[in-house]
Amino acid sequence: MASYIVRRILYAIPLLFLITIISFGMMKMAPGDPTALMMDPMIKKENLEAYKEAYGLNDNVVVQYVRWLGNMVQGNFGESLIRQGVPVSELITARLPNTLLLMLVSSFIAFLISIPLGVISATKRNSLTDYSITFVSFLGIATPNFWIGLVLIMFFSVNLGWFPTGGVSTLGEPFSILDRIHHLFLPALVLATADMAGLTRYSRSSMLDVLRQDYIRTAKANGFKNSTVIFKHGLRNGLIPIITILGLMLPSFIGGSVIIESIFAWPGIGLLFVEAAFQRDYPVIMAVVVIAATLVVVGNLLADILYAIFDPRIEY
Amino acid sequence: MSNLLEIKNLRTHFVKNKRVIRAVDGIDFQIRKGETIALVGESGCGKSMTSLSIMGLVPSPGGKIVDGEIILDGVNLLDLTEKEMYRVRGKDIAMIFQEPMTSLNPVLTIGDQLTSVIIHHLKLSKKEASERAIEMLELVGFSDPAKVMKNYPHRLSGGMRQRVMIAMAMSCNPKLLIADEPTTALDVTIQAQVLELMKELSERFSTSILLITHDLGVVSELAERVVVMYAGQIVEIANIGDLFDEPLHPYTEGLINSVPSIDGEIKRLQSIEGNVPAPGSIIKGCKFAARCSRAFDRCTKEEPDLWLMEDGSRAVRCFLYDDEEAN
Repeated sequence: MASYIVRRILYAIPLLFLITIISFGMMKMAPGDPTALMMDPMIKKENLEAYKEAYGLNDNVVVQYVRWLGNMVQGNFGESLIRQGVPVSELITARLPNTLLLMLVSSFIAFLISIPLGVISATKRNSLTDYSITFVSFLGIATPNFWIGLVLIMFFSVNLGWFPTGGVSTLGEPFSILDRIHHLFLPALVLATADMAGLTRYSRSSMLDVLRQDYIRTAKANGFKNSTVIFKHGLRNGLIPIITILGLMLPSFIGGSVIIESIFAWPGIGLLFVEAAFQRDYPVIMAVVVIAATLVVVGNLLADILYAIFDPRIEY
Repeated sequence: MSNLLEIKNLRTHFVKNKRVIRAVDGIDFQIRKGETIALVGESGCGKSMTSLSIMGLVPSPGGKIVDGEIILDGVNLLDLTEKEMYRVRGKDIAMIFQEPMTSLNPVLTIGDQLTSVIIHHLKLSKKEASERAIEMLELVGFSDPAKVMKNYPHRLSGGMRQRVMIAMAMSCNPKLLIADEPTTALDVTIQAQVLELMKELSERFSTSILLITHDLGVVSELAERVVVMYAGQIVEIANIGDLFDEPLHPYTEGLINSVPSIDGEIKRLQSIEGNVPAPGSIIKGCKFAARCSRAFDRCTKEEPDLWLMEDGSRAVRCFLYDDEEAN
């Protein structure tokens, strides 16, 4: 098992390396460069050149990349161009926990709701319950979640005043868990809806497949009651493909968090990314891209490890 | 010998695309205590559905037992609630299946699967159940049962898995063991071992066996009495010796003739012409008439009953043996 995990981690390294090359290359290919943003438009040509020279922008691309990568692996992402003097790593460490909290809670919500719904749907196949769950799922797949977010803000925050419209905490009040949950609830729920519908459908088809298996018949023939058959003998098998989906869901969670954080003014790296992109804050953009990519790779790694734990047939 | 199981006029129907399929169409037979009885017939004749009806596991929705009685030790199983059936399945009636490769749960260890059944029915402690499981594994021929307990099914071969299935089925001393094509998926040498094992265990625990198969070789190996089914009905019941010596129903005869014999002269193997009637088709008269070489007028007009013959140990559903015809 340990050697399997080590092997998977080693496989992830070249992948991360490739990601840094691509994200660096894309930034380089984008029109304009940081100086265009920092300088007074009336600046003299020779002064501009001097700046470029000072920032190393005139060096060979490969040299620039190696310098950036070298700094980055040491945890130095450079300084923000907009908030001058603030290291990017500081911005990230301030924001990342908020995003992780949001993603963790919303994936928890998604699993907690979707898997039972999928199981119910599968066991009561072709019943009214099944059709209703299927209908709502397709509705969920078809509805963009920024819209759901806006509607929920309208309804719960503006009209009813039950939840705050955004932010992580009430300004001017000391930190409290309840206050955090109060702020977290709507964004986490909306982010969860993005994948809940698909996850419900996956759990349903996975469980349907499992319930047709011979070992389910064996369990029934052994006199186990229905719930034991479904949850002990069925669900453990049905969850195996769902773990793969978990790995695949992570990118959409990160993509979704960019939108949801913007709507709910949730100060996470998604919102940081949007701000940085609008302001062409190159070091921040690149750092967030690399971190998001790392999260996806780590998520897939976790899925692989979970897979090996859940399915004894996997050879390490 | 008294009867352990009596099946009376059992009818199990399926509704598919609004058509009624009579998978089991009114069958009657008995299994005596300690007896091994074989249920024989081609695919789709209703033999597996008969066994699932006895277990109360007819696939639902779609399938339904519409009539009849299944009496085990004086209790009509069809009157029991689902909850009461939980106590019968795996305890009074155990079942082993055709597909040993897929009949065990891939994510649970052999030990987990065996002990959970034992704990469920015999109410033993975890430790006692584990001892009992090891004992059963030893009984079915594993030399290192403690190690097998910790294994997952994918580590075992098909023959070994079928032994585990047998150990599981026998672990709670069932009165009746239903074996649905237990050796079909195994290779020939393993088949013989598994049959031998079933025979040995059923004698030891005086368990009755309902053996479901299309393989007459297996039948001759294990069974004392044979019930031949065709298109959801019983066409012949006979003791094993009588059946092979003198099959009465033309269908039984056809089945026996289609088995290659090792000592007989080399001749063309005979097959039964035609196909099993499509499920759900309505046939007037004898259901086998269209494929029967000895059919005559009456066969396509009336439906024959199952006539009891001689001392009652034999029955056949064919006009050839109707006294009226003989006269």
